[in-house]
Amino acid sequence: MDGLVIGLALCDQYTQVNCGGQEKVWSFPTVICKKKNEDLWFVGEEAYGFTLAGDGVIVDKLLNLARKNGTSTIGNTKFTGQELLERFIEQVIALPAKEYGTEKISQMVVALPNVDNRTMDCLLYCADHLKIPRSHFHVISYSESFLYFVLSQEKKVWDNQVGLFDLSQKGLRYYEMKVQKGLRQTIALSDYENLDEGVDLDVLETSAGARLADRILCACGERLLAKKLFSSIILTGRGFEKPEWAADFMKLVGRRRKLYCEPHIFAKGAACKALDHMGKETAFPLVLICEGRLKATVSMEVIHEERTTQLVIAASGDSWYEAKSTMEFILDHQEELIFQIQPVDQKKKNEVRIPLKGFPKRPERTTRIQLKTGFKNENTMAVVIKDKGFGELFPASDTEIRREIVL
Amino acid sequence: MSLILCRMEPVRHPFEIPELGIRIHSSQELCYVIYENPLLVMDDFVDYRLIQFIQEDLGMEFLAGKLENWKKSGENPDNLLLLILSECQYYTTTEVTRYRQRLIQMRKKHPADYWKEKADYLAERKQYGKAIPLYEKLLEMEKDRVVNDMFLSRVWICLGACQARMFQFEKACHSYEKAYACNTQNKEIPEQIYYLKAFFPELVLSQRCLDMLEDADQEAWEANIAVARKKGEGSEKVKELDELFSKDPVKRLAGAAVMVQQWKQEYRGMI
Repeated sequence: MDGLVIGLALCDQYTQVNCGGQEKVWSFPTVICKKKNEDLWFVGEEAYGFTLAGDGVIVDKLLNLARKNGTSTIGNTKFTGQELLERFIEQVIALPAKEYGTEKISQMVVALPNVDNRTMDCLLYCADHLKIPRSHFHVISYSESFLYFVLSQEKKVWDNQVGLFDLSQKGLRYYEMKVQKGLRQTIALSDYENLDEGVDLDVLETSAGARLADRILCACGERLLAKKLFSSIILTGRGFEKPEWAADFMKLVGRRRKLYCEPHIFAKGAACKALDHMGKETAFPLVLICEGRLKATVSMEVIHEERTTQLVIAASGDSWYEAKSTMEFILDHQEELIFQIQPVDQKKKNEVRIPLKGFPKRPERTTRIQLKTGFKNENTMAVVIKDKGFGELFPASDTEIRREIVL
Repeated sequence: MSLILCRMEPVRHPFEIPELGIRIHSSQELCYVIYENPLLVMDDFVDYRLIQFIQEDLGMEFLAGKLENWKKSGENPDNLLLLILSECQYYTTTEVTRYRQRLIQMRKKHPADYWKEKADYLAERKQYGKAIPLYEKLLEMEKDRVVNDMFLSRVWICLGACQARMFQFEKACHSYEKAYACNTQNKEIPEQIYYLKAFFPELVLSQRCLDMLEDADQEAWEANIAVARKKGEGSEKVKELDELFSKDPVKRLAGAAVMVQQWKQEYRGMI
């Protein structure tokens, strides 16, 4: 193996690691332990082992700790959540590195149950700490990972809709995906729903509890799958590691469609994406719409090479976290910026106008503006418009406009 | 109503245009300077320094290569300017065509008119050092329907004004004398000499000058000088100077050093 192509599914409960094109998956609880009086760190089951033996101090909920800027004192040393997360990921990467005999990381994709700005930042700092170039490190949602996993399977698996039930200690989550073929582009959409019907995994230990859980899931399955055409249903999560308790539910969801149990779908999906980054061209020439990706295209009408053209600032399907841009324009009788927003599922375009109030009056075409755009989340675009003047001919003022545009 | 998308230009060494006292940082500014200042750019503006700027800082290698080839092959310099305007796409094709017409019209002018306009343009921008040789060149031209006494008188006046601005009062006075010799009807010339003497009392006037001033309405001129002095006293620059001298000695010295440096810079720009 030239370099590691890592897919990592990371949440506060468990971590799964898979390498692109490999079957082996490492799965363990998201905990880290420091051995007492030694600078030795352990993760997963090994961490529990040392802690139970009284040789180490364990820290859990690492993602949450880092996200909330928390700290944890081990021995006499205070560690920030960020430091612990960095150490954890370092240890996690060491597993495939040892297995495949290389420490070089060619691509790494981390899948999260939910993506937010703060967690993304934490993970990118981890990448910096591990000296992984940002271009080789990506963070995606479980929804996106699900899309990559399914789309990397045979077409018959995703000809129609695909459902995914993820039953974990945290609850039951249902994902759904479909591929829409359009004239110009093919779109793969995925969405999820946190269900109230989640069952405590401990109840599965007793036969009465298991029967009850099976009945609950059946009701849930009937409601979610009714009147829809599915090609396949996938079951994942700790709850479905030994799915025998859910016999009726499996019979129900597997009726007239294929049923798969894939306990490591998110790590494998992330690995698929990592592998895709290795190629010159993507193996998934579709627009992916899911959590972490934009559901609308934002554009502006500009003059380029004497022609009016639509300049796309961010396209639907772009990762909102990575969709940052800086561009400069010259105003020609223009007193406002007009952003056109085209949602992926609507034909009608919306317009958002930002008047350039307070900008100095200058002869036409002697005001250069800098437009910086970025996203706070998949629905909010942050815009900064700055007066750059026109060189030393018309010096720049400090005028700046900041706005947020809800897509 | 539109927005022109700018190409990203990694300018590390801005291009200096001393005549305008500015440095340019983009292809748009370059086009603006060319378009708005034809007199400045019509002669030898596109030189190897500019071509290097276009190539290395604006990153427009194709344009730079073409300009270099055209320059080597002795292409009409106006075409080099037009090539820059059309390649940078800051101005529309219609505007570039209009500019071409403007250049053609200017080239059609009598050489004396053209060079006078150019010298005036430089003088307006305080480029006296560059304007003076042009005025002197005009004075060497052979007389014809354009280069007549009236024209020469105007040139001498402009030359005198430039010399006075450069504190060359004796030369300025001589130029005004010559201007008067070409056009004795121009009553503004003695007035200028009077002001010159008022500004620089050490100036020794020739008998001819003294004769010029003899019958003039010196009271009115004195009144003008008084008005100008009053206006000057209230000017921002004088206020700045007063403020500087009201500061403690250390700050005053530091401020004065900055101010003298500025003046030196300004004067260097003139020559």
